[in-house]
Amino acid sequence: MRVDLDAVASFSQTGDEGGQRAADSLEGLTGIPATCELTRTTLVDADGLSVFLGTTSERVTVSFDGALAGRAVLSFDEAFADHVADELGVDADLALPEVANILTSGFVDAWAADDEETIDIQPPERIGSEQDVVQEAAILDDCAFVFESRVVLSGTRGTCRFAVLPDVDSFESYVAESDAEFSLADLAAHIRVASVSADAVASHLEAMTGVEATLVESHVDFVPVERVPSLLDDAAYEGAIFESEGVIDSVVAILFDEAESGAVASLLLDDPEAGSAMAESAVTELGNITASGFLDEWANALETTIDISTPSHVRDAGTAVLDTVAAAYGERADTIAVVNASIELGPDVTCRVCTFPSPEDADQLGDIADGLVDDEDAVDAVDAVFGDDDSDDDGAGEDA
Amino acid sequence: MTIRVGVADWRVTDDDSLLVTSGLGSCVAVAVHDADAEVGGLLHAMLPEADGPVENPAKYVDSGLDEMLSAMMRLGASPDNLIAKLAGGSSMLDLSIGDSVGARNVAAAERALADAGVELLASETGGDSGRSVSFSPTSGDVTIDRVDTEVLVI
Repeated sequence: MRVDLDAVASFSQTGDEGGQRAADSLEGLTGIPATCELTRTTLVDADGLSVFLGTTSERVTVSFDGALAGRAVLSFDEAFADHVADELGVDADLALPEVANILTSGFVDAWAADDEETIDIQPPERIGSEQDVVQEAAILDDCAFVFESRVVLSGTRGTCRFAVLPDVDSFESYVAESDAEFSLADLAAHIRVASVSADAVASHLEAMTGVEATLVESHVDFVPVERVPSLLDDAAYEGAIFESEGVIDSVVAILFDEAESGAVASLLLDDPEAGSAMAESAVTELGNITASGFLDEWANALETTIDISTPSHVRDAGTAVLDTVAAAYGERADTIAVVNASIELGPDVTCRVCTFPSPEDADQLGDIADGLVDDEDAVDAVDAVFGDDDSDDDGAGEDA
Repeated sequence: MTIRVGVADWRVTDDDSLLVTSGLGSCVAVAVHDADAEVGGLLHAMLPEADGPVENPAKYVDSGLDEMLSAMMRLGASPDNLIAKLAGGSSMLDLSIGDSVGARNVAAAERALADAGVELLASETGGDSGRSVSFSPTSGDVTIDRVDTEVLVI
C-alpha cells in the first residue's frame, strides 16, 4: 500500500498557494494586511475532528461545488473578528461572513486553476453547533480529510483557521484526475499510524507518571517544509528530541507544554528541591520511554527493529524547535509528513508528539499501517479461538 | 503597525512599522536598513544557498536577500547607504541530518551581504537556543528575544 507522497505533497502546495491567494484577496479587497502562515493537508482521526477544528464561537461555513466540492469551515479568533469589524466599520456578525466569502473565493481559485471546470461557492452561513460540522464532514475508514490554511492579520496576530473538508467522491475524482497513483482508501489508512502511536504515547505517559493521560486528538500532516514551524506556537516547550534509525529513519519531538515551568519534572521527582540537571534528566527519560513505546509499535508492524539515538533535551519556543527540524530536512524535500499526537497529562501539562519520517522513508508509513491491520487481524484470530476476555483490547501490542 | 515576517519570507517598509519574525532555530534573520531613506527590510531564510532557480527565493539566504534588496531599492533605498544586522543560526539540536545548517546559514548570510556590498554592522548568531527578532527601520534597532533570557538589542 504505497502512496505517492509527492502527489499528496502537491495538494499541500496547491493549498499553500490557495491560502496565500486567500490572504492576498483579503488584503486587496479590505486593505487589511494578512499572511498565510500554515497550510497542510491533514488526515484526522474522525473521533478527534471536532477538537482538531477548534472551539471558537465565531465560525462560518461556505459550501462549494464544481472542480472540487465540499465546504470550508472558517474559525475566527477574537482578535481577528474584532479587527476586521473595526476596519470594515460594521459588526462582526456582518463582517465575518463577508470575509469568509473573500477568503473562500481566493482559496478555491488555486484549486480550479488547472481545471477546465470552475468552482462555485454558496453564500456563507453561521455554524450553529460543533455537531453540525462533524456530522457533515467526509469520513472514509475513520479518517477525515482536511486542507487547512491559517490566515493571520499582520498587525494584531488575529488568526482565521480556514479548513476545507472536501466531499469524498469529489476528492477521489480530483485525486484520479491528478494522475496520483494511489487511492483515497490507501491514504486514509495512514491515520491508523497516528491513532496507534497516540494510544501508545498515552499509555506510556500514564504508566510513567501515574497521572491520567487523555488523548486529545491525533492526525497526519503533509506540510510544505517552510510551514512546519507553524505546527506549534511560540510558547516555551520542554522535552526531548530523538532520531530513529532502521527501515524508517525519523526525527521524534516529544514536547511538553506546561502551565508552569517544571510541571512535568514534578510529576516524576519525589524531591521538589531536586536540581535542574535532575529535572532535565527526568523529562528526557520520560520522552525516551514514550518515543520507544510507539516506535516499537512501528517496528512490530514492519517485523523489524528501530533504534533510537541519545536524546537532546530542549526548552525553547515550539516554533524554533520545529524550525530546526524543518531546516535539517529542507535540503532534501519540499514537503514532509508529520505524525502528530496531542495528549493531556492531568490538568497542567499537554504533551505534543511530532514525528517526522525522513522524506526518503515516508512511504513506509503505508506499510506500517498495513502491518498494524495484520496485528489486529492476528489478535482477532486468537480471540476467536481462545475467547476474548478483554473486549477493549485493540490488539496493537500495548506491551511492546 | 507590526508586520509579521513568516518563515521563508521577507517584508520591506518605508514607514514606522515594526518588522517581526519568530521561531528562529537554525534559520537566520537578516535586517537591512537605509537610514537616510528610512527604508528597512527583514528576511527570514531557512537554507543557505539556492541550487538554481527556485519557486520561493525567500527560502534561501542568497536568493532571498537579492529579492529583498531589489524591493528596498524600489522603495527608494540606495545601495550605497545600506547596512545590515544578522541574528539566528543556532544549533539547538544534535541531529545527524542537516549538516550544521545553522552555521552554514550564518556563513551564507555574511557572504551574500559582502557580495552585495552591504556592511554587516552587528550580529548575534549561533549558540543553542531559538530567537524571536523585531526590527525597527526607524531606529535601526534589532531586538532579540529568547526563552528564559533577557532581551538583547543590537
